[in-house]
Amino acid sequence: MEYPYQPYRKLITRFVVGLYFLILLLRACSYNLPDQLCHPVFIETGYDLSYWAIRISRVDWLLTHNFFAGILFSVVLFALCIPMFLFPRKRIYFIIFSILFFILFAVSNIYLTHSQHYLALLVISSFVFFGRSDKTFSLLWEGLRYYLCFLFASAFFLKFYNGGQFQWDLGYVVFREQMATYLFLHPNSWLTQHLYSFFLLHPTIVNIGQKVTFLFEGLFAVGFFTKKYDRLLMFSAFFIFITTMLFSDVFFIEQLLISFLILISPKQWQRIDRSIKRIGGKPNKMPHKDNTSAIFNSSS
Amino acid sequence: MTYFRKLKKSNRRAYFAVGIFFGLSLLLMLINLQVSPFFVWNMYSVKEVRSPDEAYIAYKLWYNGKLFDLPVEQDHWRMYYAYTIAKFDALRENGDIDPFTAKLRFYKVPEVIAQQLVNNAQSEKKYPEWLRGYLSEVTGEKIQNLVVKKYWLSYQANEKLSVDSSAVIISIN
Repeated sequence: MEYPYQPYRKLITRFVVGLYFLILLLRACSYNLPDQLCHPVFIETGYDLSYWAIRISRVDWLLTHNFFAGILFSVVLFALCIPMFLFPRKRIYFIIFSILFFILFAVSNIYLTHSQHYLALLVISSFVFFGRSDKTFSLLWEGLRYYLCFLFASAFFLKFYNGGQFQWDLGYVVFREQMATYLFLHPNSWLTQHLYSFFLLHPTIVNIGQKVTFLFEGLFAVGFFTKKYDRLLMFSAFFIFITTMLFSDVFFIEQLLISFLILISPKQWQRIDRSIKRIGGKPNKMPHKDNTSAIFNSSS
Repeated sequence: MTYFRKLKKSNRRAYFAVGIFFGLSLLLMLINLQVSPFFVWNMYSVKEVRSPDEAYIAYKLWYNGKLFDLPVEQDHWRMYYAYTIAKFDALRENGDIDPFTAKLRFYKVPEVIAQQLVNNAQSEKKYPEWLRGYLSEVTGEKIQNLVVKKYWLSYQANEKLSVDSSAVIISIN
């Protein structure tokens, strides 16, 4: 049996922990951590029962309204990155971090008054470090790649299921709606003058662009059967998030960065490992064997 | 199903955990109910229909006489304002009653729980002061005065936006 990510557990874990640290830093710098929200007043839970549990238990209130609890929560989140980085196989740190990170995700969304997916993929990613052995880690990391494919493929599927894809001008309607504030606030910006003005006058291009973006989402379904096209999937993820940024005025930088890490192949991890070795790290002793086996391979 | 077979042979516990996770994610996706961390990735999946006379809404915020306006690269610095101002406006327009209250009543959610899940008139009253405090943190300035204006906009024949009307919805001096 092949465990292609097994030799790179430490390396992958350290990269992901580094990303968690950077994302936490971004949140801290942009005043998004619970203790920085200045006792927020509005909430929104929708029908998400996990948010309900957080509200009923008053965990959200404790973290946003109690100065010491809020500070302690943020400090522990940051501090946990250190042992996670130094001891990538010590599961206990990852389990605690995962719980706290999930609470951060939920509390952030409750007070944002919108269930945004900024941190969602990072929440899922934190589960793969629960594996005791490196073999289990390899399998779970592979599973995370399949989850990423599920994420985009389900977004593709739901556009049919919920009917959005049958609306030809969906792209143009969403574009006008989402960008209204930007266009109103920046009538003379370069983007308004050169990019948005053009697209506003050419709805067909916007609608075709939306369908292309939608096809890029659908492309992830291929990822269930082969890993050969993972570079193309990386490009697709980049294209989807950049067009979302340009045409919907929302930037999911967290999702974009973790998607890249998830789609790095074992061979590429090997190259990264070698590059780090050259700088001064220790070599990995286990040989690499690339795996292109498929999740739905009926012949095996 | 090579992956699941491999997982089953290697680690039964992980096999059941991953299987249940994917199963529940699929199920909840089909009934369109997100229970985190079983996420439903349904962004822009429903039809968006607008009547021709429906206005586009935009908000402008001035603090100490300056316009608060950040680009999309600084999404994180502006998002707690961008989302909550719309919430404040929606509550204000709905007579201080959270629209979610009616939905919770429809599903007969016990009052003691429902109270924890909705906003009330008190939240709305506190919001302008909260906004002032939070923006002081974000901008690093002591905010003396703050104005939020709501605009009703429409696209003209040349696709330029024009203001149909406007109203001040928050003013602190």
